[in-house]
Amino acid sequence: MRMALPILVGLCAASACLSRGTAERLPSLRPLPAEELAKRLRARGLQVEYANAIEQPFFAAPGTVYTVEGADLQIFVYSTESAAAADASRIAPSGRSVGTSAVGWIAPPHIFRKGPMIVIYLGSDSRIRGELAAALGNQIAGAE
Amino acid sequence: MSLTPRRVLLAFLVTTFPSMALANHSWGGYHWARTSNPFTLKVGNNVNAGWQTYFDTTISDWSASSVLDLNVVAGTSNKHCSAVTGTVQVCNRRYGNNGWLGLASISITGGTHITQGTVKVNDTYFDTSTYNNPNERNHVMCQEVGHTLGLDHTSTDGSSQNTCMDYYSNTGSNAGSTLSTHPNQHDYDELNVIYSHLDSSTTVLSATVMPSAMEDLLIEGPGQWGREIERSEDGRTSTFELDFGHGNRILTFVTWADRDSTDIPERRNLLMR
Repeated sequence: MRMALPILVGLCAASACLSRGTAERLPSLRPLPAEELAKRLRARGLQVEYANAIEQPFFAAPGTVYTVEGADLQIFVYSTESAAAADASRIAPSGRSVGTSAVGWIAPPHIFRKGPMIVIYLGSDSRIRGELAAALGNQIAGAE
Repeated sequence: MSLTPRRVLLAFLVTTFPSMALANHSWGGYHWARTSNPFTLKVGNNVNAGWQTYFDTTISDWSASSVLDLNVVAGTSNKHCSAVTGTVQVCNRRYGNNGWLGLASISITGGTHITQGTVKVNDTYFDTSTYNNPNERNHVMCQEVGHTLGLDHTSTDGSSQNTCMDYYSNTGSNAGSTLSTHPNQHDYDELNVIYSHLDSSTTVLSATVMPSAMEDLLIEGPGQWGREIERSEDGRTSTFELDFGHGNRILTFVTWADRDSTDIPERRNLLMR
């Protein structure tokens, strides 16, 4: 017992120190926006799986592909809102071209933007579209 | 109904130019600048054997236009399907699970003049049973090349207008359908509209003025770059010139890697005339 107390105190001190130090070094430590969206969709009962990282030649930010009920959901997170807005402004209302790139999507695109995030859902499931609109606002481009 | 001047004019246009009145799928007014019609556009063939038939069909289809001819040349792009000034480069590759079957990109100068184009078809999908059928391959190849000519989609609702510029999908129960696998008259009419004017200059790599020795040239190493005409003070960048006479030159801009690195130098080629 005499030995246990100092060890316990030592552990607590180390823990507090680690906790405080981590908070100071990583003040923005929290789930990434893409994963936050995925968690939200899962919480709504949708089957959401991570698929792969992605880079689109017509977007400045790298992205992440998830599958939502088997359909692709591409999430691009920019360093700033203005950077996301700049790329979003180049997307045609149909969602079929971005700037001077015409995109032959595998399924009808539905494109959303919220803050520094551009989200592309490739599919036609009205439930998924509704959940994305609830989370991100109305789509900014894409199929009706 | 009274015949207002506007209605009379519309009736005249529709009866006089019935097909032109329907043509309305220009992509942002983008077009190749040229000084005469018909013009010849070089298309670099970078596709593998699996795509050759569909590439050939697409070239033949679009060359049926009365305002342009597509002239196939050896592909001069690289694995990234980099653009080559004055040409369209067509490539296939497994570009990954990125959501697109095909991607057409163009570069613009002066607001609407196309200076170069690339077409990529994505084998990540076409190597799967869902997309691997002749009709879908024809549809996508035809559509992406059509974009580089200045055409947009005719529709995006998934219905077929029997043109490759629509968004019909030749997959699943439609895999055997030949609908939407070629351009239709509407597309040729739109090309007539887009290219009805002439420009004062050209952005098309000339098929006739460039010496044949400049064609299909593989510029793989310093031995093919010609003479060094410029070098930066720090020695990191150089410009080489290969002179074909009569003002025809290939300039190669080289950014050297560290001398003790095994990396190849980054370089850019520019055809000059």
